[in-house]
Amino acid sequence: MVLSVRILDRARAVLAVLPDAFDARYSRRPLSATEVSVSVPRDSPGLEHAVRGNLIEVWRGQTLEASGRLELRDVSGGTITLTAYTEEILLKDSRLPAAYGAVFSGMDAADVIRACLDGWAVRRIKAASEWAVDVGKANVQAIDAGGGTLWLTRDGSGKYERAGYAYYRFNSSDFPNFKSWDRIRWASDYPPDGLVYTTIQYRFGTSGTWLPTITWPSDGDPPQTLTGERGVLPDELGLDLGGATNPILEVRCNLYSDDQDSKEEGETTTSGTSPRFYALEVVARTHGVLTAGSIPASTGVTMQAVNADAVTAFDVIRDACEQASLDFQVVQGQLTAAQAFGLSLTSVVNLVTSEGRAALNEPSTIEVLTLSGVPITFDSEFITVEVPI
Amino acid sequence: MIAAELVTLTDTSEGFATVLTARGPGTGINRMQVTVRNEDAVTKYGVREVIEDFPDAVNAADLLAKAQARLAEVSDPAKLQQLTVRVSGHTEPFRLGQRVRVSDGELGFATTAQVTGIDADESSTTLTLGDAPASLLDVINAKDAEERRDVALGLPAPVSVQLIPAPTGLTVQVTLGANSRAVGVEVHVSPVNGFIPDVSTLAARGPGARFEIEGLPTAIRQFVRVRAYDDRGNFSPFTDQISNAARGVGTAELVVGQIDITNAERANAALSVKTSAGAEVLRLGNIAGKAGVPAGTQYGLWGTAGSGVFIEGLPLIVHAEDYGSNSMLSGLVAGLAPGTSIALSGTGSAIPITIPPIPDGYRMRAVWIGNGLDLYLRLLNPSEVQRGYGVPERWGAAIELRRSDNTWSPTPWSDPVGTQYTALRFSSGGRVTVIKTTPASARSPEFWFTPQGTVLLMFVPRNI
Repeated sequence: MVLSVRILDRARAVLAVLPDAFDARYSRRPLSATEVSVSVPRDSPGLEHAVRGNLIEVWRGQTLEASGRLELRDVSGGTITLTAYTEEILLKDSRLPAAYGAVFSGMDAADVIRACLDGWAVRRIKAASEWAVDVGKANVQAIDAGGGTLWLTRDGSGKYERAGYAYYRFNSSDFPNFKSWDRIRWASDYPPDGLVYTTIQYRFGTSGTWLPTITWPSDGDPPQTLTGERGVLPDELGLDLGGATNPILEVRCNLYSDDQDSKEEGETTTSGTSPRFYALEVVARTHGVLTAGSIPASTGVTMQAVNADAVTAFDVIRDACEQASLDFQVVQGQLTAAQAFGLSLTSVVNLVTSEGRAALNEPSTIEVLTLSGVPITFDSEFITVEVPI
Repeated sequence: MIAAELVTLTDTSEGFATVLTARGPGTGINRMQVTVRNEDAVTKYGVREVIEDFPDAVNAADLLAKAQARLAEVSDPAKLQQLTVRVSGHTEPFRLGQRVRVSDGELGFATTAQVTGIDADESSTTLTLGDAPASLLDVINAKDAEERRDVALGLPAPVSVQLIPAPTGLTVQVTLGANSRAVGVEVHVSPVNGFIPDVSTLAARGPGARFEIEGLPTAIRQFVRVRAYDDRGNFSPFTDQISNAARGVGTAELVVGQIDITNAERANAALSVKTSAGAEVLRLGNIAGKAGVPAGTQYGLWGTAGSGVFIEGLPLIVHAEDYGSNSMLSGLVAGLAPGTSIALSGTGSAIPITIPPIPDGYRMRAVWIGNGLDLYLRLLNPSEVQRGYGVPERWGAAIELRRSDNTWSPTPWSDPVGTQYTALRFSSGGRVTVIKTTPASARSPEFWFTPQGTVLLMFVPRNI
């Protein structure tokens, strides 16, 4: 069979076909991206397309044997050896946001696999210079302490203001390959028994009602009305934006204090306590390069203790498959997850590994590789042997 | 110059990245984070993202600077290649950090690189080189690509291309040169005259000599250029453009059922154009029996009034014939005062009309008869003839033509085209006003009324 190599660009358009390939080698392992290598003459036409990032496919006749992304080229005399990693490697290009495991916790493994086919992009406000780039604010200031934090300002008598806010604008066009808004996450002070509070609100666009519109009274005296979302695990789960695709997202950080009078030891001219915002993060989903092939609708396995702290999509899918006893592979841009790939060969292939009589339970057509320990060679590739039962 | 042997030329993508997310001190989301992209590298190699921690970053600007510096390092493919050479016969030892020049005539590159590793024995030294300014494999392959393009110039363009209009499409027939190594052709189509072929104009590709280009608008000229390619991916130059337009059947302009195309011998024409009500307005082919068509089997183009064929350059022939009559009226009236009107009546004798032979291919189409007739007044005292003392105010319908069937036609313009006439006569019905008489009295003018006229006959080609 003629061995050939096709070189494809990242959009999978064929750039060149190298017809005189030889010495193709590849391996497959469960839950892994493995190596594919093949050699071609150095004067092969179209070899200029063999650059990193492009894809190669190794064809034997009309059959695709292996495919992957080109990772290494080695020139030796008149030969260039191309080494690729099978297409699962593409999942390693996609990085998850920090501390993202809680999002997947409790999801079915199949849903987690599907969720990892799109990418992520993150915009985080942390440094004082980033907090300062607000769209609007009242009674707050950014302080370069603790890596950058947002505080309430003080009034003329040195007391912290009772409430303040700042809001920030995020444009979808600033997220390369934007697909949808994923969630807002933040880190701030919100002690359950304290007198300071922080909440988050958002809106799609530059005007309109801030969401959510939840209000409740504070515990202080006199109480004030708190507005917005306090959140559960705000720095991991945050606020789910439901996959909205609006071009503009604005996020408002609200700070409240019911303590204007307490003093630290040695504090004389000022009083009170301010809550702090330590970080604000918006996560967007981006269009992935892979599509979903055959993936079970559900596996019945709920994901637990997902490690997804800035890991790759490959890592998460591997974990999901391990928990659900699945394997996965990516071929020609499609991810497939299953317990096994391909059809059973037991009815057509019998691998005889030692001499002796093979016990057959029923009539069968089998491929005989050796006879009395001697490899069989014929003009044709296969011979059919009728075995009496 | 030192003899050396290339041991290794390898590049790898391990550690290569085009996008870098840098994280400052802290944990979770409570830490500075910035993502930087090398857009040129992203465009060329795709998104390859890595995350790196910079716990010593003191602020956002410092983190950004560190991230950019690191990205510049990991997104440069040249930094990821391994180049080792074995050197023999060099007496001075090499030192780490030295820059050396390396050239390989066979592979076709020459570059400088820095010594990053030395392995020496008694007979030779193997140098590991780094910091080359470019990815050598890209350089080598680019050079080969140019050579292959040169070879491709030897692949000739197809020698002949023909366009055959088809319903809403074109059939392109391509002929390659004898012994061409081409294995297929690309057909590019565009409605733009003088277009430059590109991916958007590619209409068909593959082996073979006949390509059906479908889905083209009718009556819009399409320009076509073709090039051949061989089994090595080389292309020939494009042919010059040729053009044609797709023909239409079943479109709004040509409705099936109102057009019938068949053999000329068919009794009801080869091409018959009808109105939506079914009335035939134009026929091509057998036009026997249609109005105005001579008897017998006739082939040609026939149309109803308002249709027809308008052919530029065929001459019209106009024949003019002057006629006059003897005096129809005469009289003697005494004592006419200026301004006196005299009523005239009477009919002259028939005058034979001479119609010239009708040229071959023509027929008589129009007859024009002038209605201005001269009036002669003759004064008897003194006995002299003066013209102009009176003019007709209006002569009215005064001329008739006699048809070949001996009937008189008072309105020849209503007769069928081609009607032949044999005679002309004049009749009166107008008045004469005497403008001046001298002297005013004692004159006895005698007047004669002598009409004269011109008949114009127009002959037109039979197909008009």
